[in-house]
Amino acid sequence: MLTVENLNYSYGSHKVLKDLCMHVEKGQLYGLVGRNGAGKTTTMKILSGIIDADSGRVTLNGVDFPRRTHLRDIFVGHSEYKKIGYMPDNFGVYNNLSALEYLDFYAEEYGLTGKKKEKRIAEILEMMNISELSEKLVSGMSRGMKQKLGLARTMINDPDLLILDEPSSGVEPEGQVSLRDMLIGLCSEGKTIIISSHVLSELTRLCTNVGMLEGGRLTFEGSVAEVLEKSRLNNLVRVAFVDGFEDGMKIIHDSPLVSKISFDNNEIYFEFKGERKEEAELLKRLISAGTTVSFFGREGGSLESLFKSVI
Amino acid sequence: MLIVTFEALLAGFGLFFYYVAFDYHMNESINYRMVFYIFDILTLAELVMVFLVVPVFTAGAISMERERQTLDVLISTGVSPFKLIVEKLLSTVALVAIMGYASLPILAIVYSVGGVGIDQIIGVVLLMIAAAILFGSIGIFFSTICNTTMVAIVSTYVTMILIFLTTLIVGNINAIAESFRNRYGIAGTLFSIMTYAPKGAGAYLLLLNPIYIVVKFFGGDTAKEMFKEIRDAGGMFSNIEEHWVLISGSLLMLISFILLVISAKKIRK
Ligand SMILES: Nc1ncnc2c1ncn2[C@@H]1O[C@H](COP(=O)(O)OP(=O)(O)O)[C@@H](O)[C@H]1O
Ligand SMILES: [Mg+2]
Repeated sequence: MLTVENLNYSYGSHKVLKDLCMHVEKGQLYGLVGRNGAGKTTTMKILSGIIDADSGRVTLNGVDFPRRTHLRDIFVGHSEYKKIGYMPDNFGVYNNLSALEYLDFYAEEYGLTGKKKEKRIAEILEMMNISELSEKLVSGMSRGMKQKLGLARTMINDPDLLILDEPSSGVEPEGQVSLRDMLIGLCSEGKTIIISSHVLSELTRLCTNVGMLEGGRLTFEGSVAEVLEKSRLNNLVRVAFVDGFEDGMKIIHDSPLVSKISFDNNEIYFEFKGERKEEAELLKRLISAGTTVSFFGREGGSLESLFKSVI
Repeated sequence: MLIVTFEALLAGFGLFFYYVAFDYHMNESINYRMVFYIFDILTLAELVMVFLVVPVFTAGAISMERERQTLDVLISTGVSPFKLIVEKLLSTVALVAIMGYASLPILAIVYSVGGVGIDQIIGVVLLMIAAAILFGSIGIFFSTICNTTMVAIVSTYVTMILIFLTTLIVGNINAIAESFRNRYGIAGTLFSIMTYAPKGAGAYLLLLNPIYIVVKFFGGDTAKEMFKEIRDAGGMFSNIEEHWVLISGSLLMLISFILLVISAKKIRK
């Protein structure tokens, strides 16, 4: 649905994106993860048409997104961008407006008027469960409420693709849960959503797909299941011996898939570049050599440690 | 709120002069000189409003939205940047227009009393709008290229004052030189600037100074009298003084348009 090819972008001499490629399919809830300053916001701004990439290509549903570099581009609107709803990391709401006024302003910006406009705003308020906020001033809202209102605004034009920059940062836990339910609901209705975060575990709980942004490109792109498997492989193997520690150490040391061995009492820790099958074979060799093993398995490490090792 | 205050001030002001012009001098004839003053002061008050209010509103228009990231959201709708910029400008100019509208009753009194022609009133209103658009465009321009609202406001005022002073001084260089030669002092110099017709090619620069024009033009002089000596100095347009308001207005609009185009180009930086 969305294809990004060789995107480059610099702020002056500071190169932020270097040949970034990215693929998002319809219905995916795609998480863009990267450290602060990795270029998530920059990428999202390019995808939303707020800034132009220095080079590269973006297509949505097979339609090329114009880079608006000609002088005439400042006089014409670009309706391609109406298919995208963008929410910046502070939600992009006006403090001096009520929720209703804010939605009204944007409904008109998208060319809705009169009864049609009122109907759409009522629908959106209903859908986002924020009807009770409609008269409330934005300045008196919590971050969670602002987030809902910002999200409601992106939905006014019924876009195909939502681009949400760190939508859950600074939002209280209940807010995060309701955001999650809302986003999953939207995806099941056929919307495609890209959200960013600097916390990988947050995205694996929420998303179907993940792209890891580091050094200006995606160092990993795939489904959450793949991420979890990768994260498993990334964890140390721990083997605990009741008997035969010396023999065990020799076998482990000789395995070509093993690196970075350390030990403590009768336990050995090591990195293991093999999948479940290779793990089983190593265990078989240990046992047939006569060692008594009381534990063999991957330690549960945090996803963030995977994130650090991939990048 | 601002408009209500402004209107109240104007109303009080208008009533006061109405009494001065009619009741106080009832035994004599209507004081025509006084009517001129009302018109002058009214015009001046509105110019000051335009000069003070427009920059503050427009210089914040883009930079404040940039600071709050609401600008990104606006741009992400795919709206044409030029349209976005013009809408920002118009919302401010509309405010000035409402203020102008609020002063219409007083202008009507002035007109009914006589002494000021309808063409003069229309001229004032047109130049005022042109001035508002120019100052607004300068404000929007700096609002787009400056990172903070504060810097944008200061830059806008500095630019406006520079334009005002440069054109005023160069345009009246003869009068100023004369005053210096005669050691008239500052007050004397100002007096000669406001009294004598500008001479020489430099006077064309005054086309860019709506404030000077409005103040002087409607302080009793007509454009024709004001600039009668420009032609002798070898100006390109022999009848420029006849269409001063039109030419000046068009020029200001052209400059505004260019500033707005640059702003629209810079808004998606
Ligand atoms: N307007 C800007 N001018 C100059 N540098 C910027 C600007 N915006 C972001 N950067 C730099 O670009 C890099 C990427 O920023 P950003 O896309 O905001 O990252 P993220 O959203 O992943 O935290 C950072 O190093 C940041 O300092
Ligand atoms: Mg960011």
